[in-house]
Amino acid sequence: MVQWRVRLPERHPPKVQDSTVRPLPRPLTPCRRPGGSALLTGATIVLLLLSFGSIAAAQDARSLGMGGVTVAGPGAATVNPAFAAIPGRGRTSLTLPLGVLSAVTRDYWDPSSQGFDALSTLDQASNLGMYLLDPAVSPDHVTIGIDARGLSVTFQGGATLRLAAPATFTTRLDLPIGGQIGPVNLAVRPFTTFHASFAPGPDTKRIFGSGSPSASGTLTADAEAGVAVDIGTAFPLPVSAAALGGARVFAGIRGSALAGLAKASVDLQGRAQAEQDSSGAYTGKVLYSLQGTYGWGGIPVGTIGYGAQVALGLAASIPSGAGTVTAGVAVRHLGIMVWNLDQTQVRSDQSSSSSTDLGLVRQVEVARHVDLDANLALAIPQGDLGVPGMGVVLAADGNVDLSGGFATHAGAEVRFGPFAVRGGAGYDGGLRLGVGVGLQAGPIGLDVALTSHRSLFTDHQAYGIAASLDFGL
Amino acid sequence: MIPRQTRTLGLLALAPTLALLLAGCSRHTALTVQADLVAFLDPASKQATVTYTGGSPTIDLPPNSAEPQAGTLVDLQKLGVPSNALQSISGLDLDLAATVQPDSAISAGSTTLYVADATATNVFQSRYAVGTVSIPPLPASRASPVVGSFQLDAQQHPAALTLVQGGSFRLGIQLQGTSPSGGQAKIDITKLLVSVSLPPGWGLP
Repeated sequence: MVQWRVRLPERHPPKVQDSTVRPLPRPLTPCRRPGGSALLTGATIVLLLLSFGSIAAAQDARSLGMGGVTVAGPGAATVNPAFAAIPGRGRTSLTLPLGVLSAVTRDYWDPSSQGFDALSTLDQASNLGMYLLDPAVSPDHVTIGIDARGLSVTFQGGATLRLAAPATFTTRLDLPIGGQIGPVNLAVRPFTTFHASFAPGPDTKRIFGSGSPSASGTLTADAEAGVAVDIGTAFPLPVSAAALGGARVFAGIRGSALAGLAKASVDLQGRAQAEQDSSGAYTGKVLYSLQGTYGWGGIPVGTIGYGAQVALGLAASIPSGAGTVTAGVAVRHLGIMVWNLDQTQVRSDQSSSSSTDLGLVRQVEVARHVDLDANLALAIPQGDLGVPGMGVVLAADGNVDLSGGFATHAGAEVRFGPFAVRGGAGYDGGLRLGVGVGLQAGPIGLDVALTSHRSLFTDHQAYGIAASLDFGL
Repeated sequence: MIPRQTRTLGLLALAPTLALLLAGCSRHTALTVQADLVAFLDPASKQATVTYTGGSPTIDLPPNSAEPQAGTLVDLQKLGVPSNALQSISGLDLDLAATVQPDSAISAGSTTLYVADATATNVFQSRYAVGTVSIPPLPASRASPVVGSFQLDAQQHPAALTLVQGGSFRLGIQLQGTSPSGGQAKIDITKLLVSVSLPPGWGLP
């Protein structure tokens, strides 16, 4: 049991009883304080997770050059298993971690340098698949105000911060290793996922506006690592192409058996309120409450998570006078996952705190982070436009993450022999723009993109350069 | 291991903590903490009727703040200024807004800001005076606005700056003028805004 007390600095004289001013307990935590090393460790872990995920989850430079769109077709079978049945060339891309270059070319990473900037570091670290030309920069001036309306925070200069907006961050890393065995796709797929969301209460939003004497919010985060065995197949449906105007329809299914090796989970709800007396003056006390759970699972606590997932897809390949239209819809990550978490429940308020070890708690997750995808593309083969060597790809996609999140993109690619130029735009947590070029030399291609995205926690539109090596299959 | 209290406070104060993290984790971000002390005053200190004498009357703001061991105690740490930033404070600004309704006219007026140490028995001693601004005459029996902006000049008052950098100090404002007769004055303080600014890079070694 821990009592909450506001501790005065030792060098301060005893508080005068008849003082007419009753300041609030210090509501703010500075950058470097006792316990900072632990905070730094936590921040480092988060940055590493962001970095790891950003490279792995990064779209390749071809996609980024087309505004982030995923082109419907055999190269997108991970999104829609039915695409695997469509004849054509698959692609395997390796995105170069150009963001690492900033460690030697820019000084915002280095806390000892004059250019150190935590916001720039976060922006670049969460986009290591590209070299950011103008990462978000911290504000020039932060003003923290306390008045009768409560606490308020305003910013001047630098990036416009959106700290009170609901924030969701998800990265997934999948490394499928396998191939086609007859009609079956078989793969062993190590995976990691990291999902975090913060939902501020309306009073917290007012802190960054008119001010508020209270703040509340919900923080959830979980990270998982494991290995999946995927078995999938895709096949043409027995539908008469003639009856569909020459269109062919495909279906695909992919089942996955999951073994969860490690998991960390946090789920907390909190609220703080500056106490006011009957006249409305602050009394100098902060009333707060916090409740939630955190836990660990997998090998760290001697258990293994297990589960199964299914991805289902439908696709159609429709010949047209201008080329071939490919369309598909899919649902992914349908399934169940069971973990045994060593869980701790925490409850705390201004008068008491308690921490209860709940022991191993079975957590059954049904259909978490389910994705719905739709993809559409028109491919005009090279030469069909009457210009020798010229081909065009137009593509659009949409994704809904049922746990929160929506993205859509559209882009175009024009090929001239081995060369390609691209452009596109989309919405992906903010505006996404891209232009790019590509060069194909036999089975190997090089794609370069100038891309733009919304920086985390800000309205800043950052520009960066990405590059990928493309290996044709 | 982070003490539980620290973890709890950090989670609950997420938004302002992030703001301070940003302010303290880049070398070009300056931080200003503004606190309207009116929000902390009890009603008797915000709105009061005080007695003044004829001749050269003085009226203390907030009222009664010249009493021994009283005064307007300001604890910057409790207002959100990190302890490791106190030594970086380069100055202090104070904006006053009030209305004063004296029984008899007070002319040739001025207001003076006093900054004293936290244990001062009387804030309104000349050695604590750090700034004076003129105010227009206050007519009799009519509520007149009294506004003033004070800036602590660190060059002229290094001792006062040292007090501010200590994090805990007292301040008061005294209205002075001339009046043919004494009487009572109704005071209504609407703003007592204290601002301290930290230079860019204050949170970094």
